[in-house]
Amino acid sequence: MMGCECKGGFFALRDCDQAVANSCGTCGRGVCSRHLSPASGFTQCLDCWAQGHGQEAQPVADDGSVPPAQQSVTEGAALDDDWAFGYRHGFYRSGYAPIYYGSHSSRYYDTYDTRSFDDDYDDTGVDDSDGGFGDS
Amino acid sequence: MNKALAALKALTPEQKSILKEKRIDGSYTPQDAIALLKPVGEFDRLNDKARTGIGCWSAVFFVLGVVALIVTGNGVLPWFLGIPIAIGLFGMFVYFLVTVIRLSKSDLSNNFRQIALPFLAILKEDMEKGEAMQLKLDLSSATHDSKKTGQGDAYALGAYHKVIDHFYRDAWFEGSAWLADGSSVSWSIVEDITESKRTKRNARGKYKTKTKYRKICNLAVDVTLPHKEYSVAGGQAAIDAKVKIKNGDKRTTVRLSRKVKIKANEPWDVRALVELVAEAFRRARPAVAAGGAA
Repeated sequence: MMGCECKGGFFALRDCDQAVANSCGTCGRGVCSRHLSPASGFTQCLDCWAQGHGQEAQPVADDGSVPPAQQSVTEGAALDDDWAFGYRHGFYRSGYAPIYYGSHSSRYYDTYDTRSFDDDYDDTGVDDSDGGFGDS
Repeated sequence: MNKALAALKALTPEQKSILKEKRIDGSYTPQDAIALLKPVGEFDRLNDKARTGIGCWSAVFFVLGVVALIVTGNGVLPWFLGIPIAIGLFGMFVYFLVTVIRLSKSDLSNNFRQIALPFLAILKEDMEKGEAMQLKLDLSSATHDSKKTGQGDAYALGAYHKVIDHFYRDAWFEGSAWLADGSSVSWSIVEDITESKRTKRNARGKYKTKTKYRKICNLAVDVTLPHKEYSVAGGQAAIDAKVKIKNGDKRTTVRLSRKVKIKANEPWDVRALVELVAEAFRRARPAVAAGGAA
């Protein structure tokens, strides 16, 4: 059975593969309990919730400041997974292309220009590269 | 005020000890660190918010107490009414004053909840569950006496006839962590703060003193990337940072540093630190092409 399709990590993305608890109401991917967004009432994955709510991260000015309305951490921020995924979404959208070192490449993350180890994967997610297991 | 006091009461003995010592030094999993520190951060937020209000109310009760005494002294209010009212108002003044002093003693540097906690929450995403990180935090005020490194001679500056600069060094945050991909990150933040006390005489002959701050924050990050997973590219940094790359037998160490200059004694945006770590990973390429990984 296929595991959770969400990718963990911030600087580098990796597979989660935990047991699926539910499917995301927005993207339809199978998601584990950790990657379901509490803020959405566990109806969306953290990625979809972040895409709807994550702020666009602003670059830091030369003096280290960011306008108050665009600061990364607002007063009372929960700093939970919802916040981290929201921040991650904003950070990726501002130009950071995360490296992915898992084995289940997913088109879901194409919008982030993910740099993958698995460039040989085709659209169906099947590895055409040499090595690995062949058909038996 | 009640929310701040309730949040203080709800803290565990370990969390209260952090508020008292204003130091954290040890090995924690990010989950444990956040579970331990988040309620402390929430109390600090409520504390900051409450203290301003309590200070104002304290002043109001004092003034009303004095007014009640004057009015009673002038016979406008009978003494059996005026004296208890004045005592009540002064009582409230003392209670609020004691509360604000008590809360002030528990105040933590805003760097804690604006930089340290968010950085831990981000780092948590890249760590295996249960993996511990080394953490050293100094949450006392950046201008605490123990952090003073010197004081300049008095000089004149424009309208200010006397300016004295006080210098502080605040090495408040360092740590290291192993990430799930086999990389390691270590970081250190040292802030050099200049507190400038400027005195001038205004048109009415009164002396006024202003305190201004400027600080230079030195952010340093080391990221070691395993050859097994990554090859590392050289070249210019995409952000304003110095980069040094050192190749080892099994790992490449990317050493990054940047300076953030601020004209206030306020926290900078955590993004300045996140960008520094990201710069190391931006240089990483999958080692597949070199025949290493996957």
